[in-house]
Amino acid sequence: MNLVAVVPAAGGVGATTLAAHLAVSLARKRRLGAAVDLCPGNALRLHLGMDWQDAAGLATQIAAGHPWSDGAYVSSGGVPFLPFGQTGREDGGARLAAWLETQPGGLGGCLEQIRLQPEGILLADAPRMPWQLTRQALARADLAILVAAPDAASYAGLPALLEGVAAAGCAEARVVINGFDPRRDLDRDMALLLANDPGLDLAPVMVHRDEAVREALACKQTVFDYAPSSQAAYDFEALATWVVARLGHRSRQAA
Amino acid sequence: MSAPADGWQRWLVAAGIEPGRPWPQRLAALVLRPPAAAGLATLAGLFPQVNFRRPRLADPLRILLQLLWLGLVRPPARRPAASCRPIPWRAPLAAIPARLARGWSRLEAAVGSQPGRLRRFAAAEGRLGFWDRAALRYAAYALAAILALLCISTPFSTLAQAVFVGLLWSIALVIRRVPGPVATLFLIVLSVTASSRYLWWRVSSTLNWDIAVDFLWGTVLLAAEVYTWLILVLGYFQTAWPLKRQPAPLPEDTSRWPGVDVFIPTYNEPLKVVKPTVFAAQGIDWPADKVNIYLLDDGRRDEFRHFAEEAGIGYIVRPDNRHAKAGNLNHALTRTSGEYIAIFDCDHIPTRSFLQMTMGWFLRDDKLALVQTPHHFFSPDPFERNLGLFRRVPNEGELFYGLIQDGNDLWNATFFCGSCAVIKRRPLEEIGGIAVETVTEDAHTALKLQRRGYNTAYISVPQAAGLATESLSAHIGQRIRWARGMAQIFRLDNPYLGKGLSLAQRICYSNAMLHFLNGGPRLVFLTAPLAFLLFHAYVIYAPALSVALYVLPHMVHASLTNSRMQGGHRHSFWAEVYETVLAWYIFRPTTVALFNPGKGKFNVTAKGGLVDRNYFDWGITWPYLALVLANLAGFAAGVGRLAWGPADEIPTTLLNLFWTGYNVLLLGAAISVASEARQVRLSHRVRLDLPAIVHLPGGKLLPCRTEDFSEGGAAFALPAEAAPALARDAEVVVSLWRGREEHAFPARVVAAADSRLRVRWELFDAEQERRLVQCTFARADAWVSWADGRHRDRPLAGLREVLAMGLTGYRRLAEHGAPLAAPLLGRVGPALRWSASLLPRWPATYRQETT
Repeated sequence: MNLVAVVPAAGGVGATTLAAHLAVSLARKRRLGAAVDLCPGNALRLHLGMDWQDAAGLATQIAAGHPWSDGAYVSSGGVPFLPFGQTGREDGGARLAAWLETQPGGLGGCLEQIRLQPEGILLADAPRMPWQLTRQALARADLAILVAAPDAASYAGLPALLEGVAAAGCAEARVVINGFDPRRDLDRDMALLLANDPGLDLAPVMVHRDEAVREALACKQTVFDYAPSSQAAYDFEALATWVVARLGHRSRQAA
Repeated sequence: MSAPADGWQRWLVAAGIEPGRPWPQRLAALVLRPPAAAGLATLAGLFPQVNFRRPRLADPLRILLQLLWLGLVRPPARRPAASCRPIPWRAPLAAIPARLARGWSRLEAAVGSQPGRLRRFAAAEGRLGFWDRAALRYAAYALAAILALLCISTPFSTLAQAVFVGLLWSIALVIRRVPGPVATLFLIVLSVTASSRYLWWRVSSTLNWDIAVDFLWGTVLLAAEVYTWLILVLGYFQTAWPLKRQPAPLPEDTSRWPGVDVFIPTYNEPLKVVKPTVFAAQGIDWPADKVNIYLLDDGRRDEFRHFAEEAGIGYIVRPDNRHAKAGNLNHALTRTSGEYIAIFDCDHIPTRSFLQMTMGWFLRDDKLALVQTPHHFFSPDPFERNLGLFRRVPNEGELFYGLIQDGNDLWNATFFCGSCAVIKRRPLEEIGGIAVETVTEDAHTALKLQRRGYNTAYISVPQAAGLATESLSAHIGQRIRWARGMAQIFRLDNPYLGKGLSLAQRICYSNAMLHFLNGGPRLVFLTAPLAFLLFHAYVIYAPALSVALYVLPHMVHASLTNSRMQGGHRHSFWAEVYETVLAWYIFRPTTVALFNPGKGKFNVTAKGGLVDRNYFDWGITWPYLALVLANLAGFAAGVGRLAWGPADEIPTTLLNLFWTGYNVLLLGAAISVASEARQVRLSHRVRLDLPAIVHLPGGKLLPCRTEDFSEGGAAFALPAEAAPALARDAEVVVSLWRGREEHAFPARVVAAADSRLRVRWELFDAEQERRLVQCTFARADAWVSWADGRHRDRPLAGLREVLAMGLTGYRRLAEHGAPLAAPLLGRVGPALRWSASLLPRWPATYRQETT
């Protein structure tokens, strides 16, 4: 199983959206994509059509003392996913992290128990806060996707994030621009800046700002169902293809 | 299914019923069909030319003819459906090459069974190096020359000549199937043999010395034929083995890349034409501190000065306009200092890769002074527009840029073509700048450079594109200038004389110049048959059968060989049309220039205009109309001679009638070009498939592909299921890419129907115009796949097309000249189609399996 950690460079850059769409796109490619939500916001499930009222998930299962694997769902599109769960507590993330550290192998050890096929790809929607959770995911991840908006906040947040990723022991980190709008001068400038920055590796695919994404979420769908011929669907598809190629390249190098 | 044997079975097959089945099943198949299909489908299958739902008056006749046809004519043999297309052997000759091929493979097997001997021979040759010894080599040349002379000059009886040309032709048909340049060389040898033999025969035995008139006519025709032969042979030499030079890579370290000045000379062209060129030049990939762009404005216009300032490029003017473009460039040479100079006519939009594709060779070869790239045109020239050939048939210039320049490059004789080229400053200054003695300064400059021992190179990848001449008169004006200039160089700086050139270079240059003298010979060919038909002069003093036996091989082999060599760049017989159109107009200036090279001035080629209505250019056509009338008179006289003349002259009359008929149709094609078709828009739409995004009102994005684009707008193919409902004039934004940079361009909807969206740009500043040019016209790959989807040349198809174009010419002539007669003439087409609809044809069941 390959683990891909999706980490935002700043708040509100759309990392959860991107993780959900990557998982669905990979599943559509018969690459056995799956997703796990590590964000206390518990928003991933909404993209995958889970009932708003349903509070089940990783954190709630553990808090209730049940086996955490019972909190897993399969979306109507056939994507297995594990929501964070509606804990209703501010420190839900920290408590989960603390519990995971008591387990053999930490988060990585738990995720290993998910019997995904060897070529399967598990997307972990990792939060910036609490960092302990993200660090555990990164320690096991084969690839970290750092989601950045083409703006100054993301650009400012990237160096610290890259340091953290390296410290956590993740082998490879790539920056993906999300919400790019070529009509805005700043977007084009930031894209050029990121592309030419020797300190970071920019993925060759960027995701456009497309109203179809927001509308899809309002319908609790992904753009693949809501607007399959939209640019966003095209971009997520391309990104998924790039992820598969990237992981294949890495595994060949390892072999 | 097995092939049916007799008539009624053929009917069954035609009706879609298996004849091999037992009778009851066949009956059942006839009867037990879906009710509506039963009768109609069977009949429709049998009679494809009859529409039973809408019967017409002549249908009984059609049915009768079809029944007779099906009953009497053997159907084509069925072949099993193959996954690949079979080679289309010419039907009557199918057996011969097939048998020859079998013989060949047997021969190969025989040779192949003794590989040891062959290999020993090859090894011995390599070890001894026979070919490296000059004496042996020249002995071989001499032997070949003697044999060739024998082959050309031995007089044959009519029968012997028939056998000889038959053999030549059979060999050519087999060789033609073999790919590769060696087989081409072989075909050239055959063609030169046939043509030389013809010419020898013409000189030695077809001139009538006894009758002065015959002799005079005969000599004039012979002179024209000698010229044609010379151009043919020199052309073969020039293009026998095109070099197909690849771009040389540049060093990794950009600090070693040399400095380049980009010159964009302009005189009277509107700013609208110049802007895209400047914008594209600013996007050329080269270190910014090593490239300077200059607008050389001989019009000294304030508008241009402001534009240059705004765009941040250099602006150079001079006090006078001496020597036109050449003088303009030479003046700019004194004001700049870059090591290399790239020159673009003001309407040639360079691609971003231009310098990286061309500069590599300069760094490899210190003596290299010039790298030329093709002139590519994204708008149709008058031939393409008025004949409807655009992107279907290679245009007039493609032969030169696709083949001749590549052939020249092998002999280190690439010409400078005035634009889309890079010249090294030092050699250029050594020869005193761009040549000013003639009106074709470009070719003359290259000649001067090469006399100094400098090399020139050609890279056959379109790296810039521009507008073709708009109207036929402008086109002819441009060609007159070229023809006059070439004749001037031939007189003033003859490539056969003077120092510094290799023999091959002399041949290549002189061929380019001689080529423009074709006006006179072409006029001779257009009138030669009249000498006999009208004046009863035997211009070729020989029996018609002999003429056919000598002249047909000459023409057939030349067509065959040229089709193979040039097929990708010029379709067969189109050269005849191009030359016919120009013949009258270049005949006079070239003749004048040959006698008095000082006369003649430089005229600028007008571009970027608009033919705003349909019209017929009578002023240009009158020489051709006169020739047509003369030929028609000759034709009438010939028909009279057939009816009332002596019987022994009938073959000669027929031959001349055939020739006149061909001339009339060729002239018709020339006339057809003069019928100017109206142009609808000022900016030309270029068909190109690029990725794009349409930003819809409301923030949704739709990925799509461009269908075409222009400076004014673009069309997109949208996914049918997601085509949005867009009102006319709705505001959208379109994303296009320049490499990996994405740029957005505001636009308004012109039309949105089904899966097609057409917009016009609403750009608000120069920066956006620059980006648009760089995302479209200046893309590195913009012109690479231009010729995709074109048919391969087939000589007979070319002939048919040219002759059909001739008929079209007369129809258009009637439409414009005699509008009252036009309706009558308009009936001819439908009448022919109606007659054709009576003809029987093979039912679908046969057609599907046999095509």
